[in-house]
Amino acid sequence: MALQVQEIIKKYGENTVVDRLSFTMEDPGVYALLGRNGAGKTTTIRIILGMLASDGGSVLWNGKPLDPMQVNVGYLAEERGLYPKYTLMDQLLYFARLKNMSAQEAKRQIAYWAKKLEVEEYLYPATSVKNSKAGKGKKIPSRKADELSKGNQQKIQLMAALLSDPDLIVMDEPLSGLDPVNADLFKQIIHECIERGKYIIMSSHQMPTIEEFCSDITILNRGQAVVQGNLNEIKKSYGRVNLFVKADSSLDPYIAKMNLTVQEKTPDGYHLKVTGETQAAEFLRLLVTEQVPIVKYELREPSLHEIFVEKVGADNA
Amino acid sequence: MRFLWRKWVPTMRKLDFQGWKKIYGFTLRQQWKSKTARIMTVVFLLVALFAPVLMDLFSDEHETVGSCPAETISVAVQNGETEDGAMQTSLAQWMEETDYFKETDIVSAEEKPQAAVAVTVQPGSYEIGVTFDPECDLSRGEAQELADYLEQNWKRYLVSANGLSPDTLGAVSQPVTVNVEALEDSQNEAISQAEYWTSYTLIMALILILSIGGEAISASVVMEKSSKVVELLMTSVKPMAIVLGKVLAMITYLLIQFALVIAGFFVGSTVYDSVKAGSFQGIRLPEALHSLIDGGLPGIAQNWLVVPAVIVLCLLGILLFSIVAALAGATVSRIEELAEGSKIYVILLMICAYAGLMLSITAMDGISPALIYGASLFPFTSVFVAPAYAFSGKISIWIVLLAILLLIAAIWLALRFVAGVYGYLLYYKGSPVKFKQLWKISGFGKRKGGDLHE
Repeated sequence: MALQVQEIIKKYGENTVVDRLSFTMEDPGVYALLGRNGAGKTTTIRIILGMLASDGGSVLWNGKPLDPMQVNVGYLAEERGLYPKYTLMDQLLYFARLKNMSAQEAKRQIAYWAKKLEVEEYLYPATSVKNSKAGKGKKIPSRKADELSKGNQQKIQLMAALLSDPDLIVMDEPLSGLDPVNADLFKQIIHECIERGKYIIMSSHQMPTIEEFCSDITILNRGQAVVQGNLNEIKKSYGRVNLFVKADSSLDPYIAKMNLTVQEKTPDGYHLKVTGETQAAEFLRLLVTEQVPIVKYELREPSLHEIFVEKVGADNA
Repeated sequence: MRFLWRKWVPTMRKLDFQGWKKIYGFTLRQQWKSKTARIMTVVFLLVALFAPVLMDLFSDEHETVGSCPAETISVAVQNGETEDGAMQTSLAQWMEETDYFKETDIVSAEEKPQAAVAVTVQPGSYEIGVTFDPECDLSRGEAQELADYLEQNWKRYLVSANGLSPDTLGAVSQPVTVNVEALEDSQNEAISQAEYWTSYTLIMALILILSIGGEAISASVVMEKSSKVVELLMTSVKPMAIVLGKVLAMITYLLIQFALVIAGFFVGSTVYDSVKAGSFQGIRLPEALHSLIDGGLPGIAQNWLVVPAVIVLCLLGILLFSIVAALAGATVSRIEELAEGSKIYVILLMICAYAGLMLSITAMDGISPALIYGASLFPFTSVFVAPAYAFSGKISIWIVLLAILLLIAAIWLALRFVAGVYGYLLYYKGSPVKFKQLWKISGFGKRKGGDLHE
């Protein structure tokens, strides 16, 4: 199985929001779509899912045009999308039925995911409440969407996306608004999906999350791909230019002497920018020569955050 | 020509409708689960059950019950300039024998009665005047009640005074309907008053269904967008399936409610008539509607197939307007904007309904058949015009069948139009969209594939 996005174009009037974008997912895993607000990520996702018609290009799944009616696709949208006044159970069964699942299988999957996502209390409230006067049990229906917090609604939406065990899963800002515990839960589930061989396209502004999951990325700027490819290779191409040094005394004179760029100075240490390993080694030699008590010295590649800001930051707008 | 064909009759795939039944089922189930819907159903049902009672109470044929509120009454009958002693005596005698006046004394005018009944016999009519003494314990309402009783039971007095039996009164009191037809006058298709009232009743019923239903459909469609569920739905179904499923679900819900109301009306009418008569009278409509049906539906007698044809026509007409209502819902982003978005639907509904009404009013004086056929065939007016004219026999079943075909074509195009723009409207967030913008987006206009951001 493979997903191929080939030269897709989308225009709104004179404004090109997606400009000849192409990428491929040959193997299961997570592919990241990154970009500033308005870069075209959500539009790209909608084109991939067939919700929006493109003005050019194609999206292929296993060599054939991707049709969500025929390919099992799961989608977790950025915005909360549940019927506020309908019960959660009704809605989940409905979404499952739309994916041609039988009622029995849908209920089984709902029970499985409800336990996994820790939302059983909302879907299966106490089935009976003893009425002391009448002595009769009273069935409480499952909760409604507007009774849940945003995070719990997101869990329900994730359930809706995964109920049918889709081959292709698209997540638009999946961790947005989640507390740390729920964020970890979501990450755990994403890991499991990867292990089960799913193809996942993820759009997010949380760079640490992207670095945790994604092997391949595309960074969009004004509808165009400005960085594309394997994340490790992209980082390697930048070289090791980020130097972190912590010492028991001030390093300012030595930094000034070598004319290094200070990215950030914190009580914890100095984040410096060097031209490469050679300059970093020279700075280390200087500190050793001057007998500066070094506590920590780390030379690393730029983070995805740094790459992102460099490529699509204000100066590149 | 081929280009125009392709442009105006775009192809549709079976896949475009896939999943509509599931959307239909879910929407219908949730509608019935809604507390508001249940309360409305109960209210409508109660109104329908008690409507025959209310209709009878407010009907002119209603008989005053109870007894005369005045304790003393004087009677005087004037025939022209002279006093009619004989009639005066017979009237007083009849009053004394009637249960209504059993607790009332008939006295002379000199004894200052609480109410004085003065009957004036005129050529071709009787005038009954009731004068009451405000200083006595008799209100204007009670005096009116006495006057109403005398008016309603005057025929009984006349029958009794002339020595006729109550059966004769029954025969004399039977309703009379009239029907005027011109012999071989095809240029003037005038309708009778009964036919007009048939048309009026049907149009009013349709306005009620389409007004309530239209709003419900628009709200149902905008809810998909405002709740943002539509993005998830679009990974499983096409826009056309969503529109079709929602529209059909709301129409089904409304028709079930309408059927319950009609059934309630029958039940209420049957029970009320049976209680009044003291025994089961069989399933029946209120008397007020009988003359309407008897006078306004000769077309059914000519060809009973008119009934199912008209039912199909009405259903298709409702479906067409419902699709327009769905479009109105799709043009707005929030439920609060629905009133503005629904303007086009309301205007269209009112224009077509009132066109039907005006045609009926005008038709009482005679109308060109071309106008009737035109209005009966035009998809948006056919549902308001064709049923009544078909029932009254003014148009044949073939015209109704042709109107059905044209409606099907109109529905097909409307559905395609709505589904085409719905895909764009799903992600549009802004002020309500105007029809001109929709036309551009739909691709039916000159500029293909325009969008709302231009």
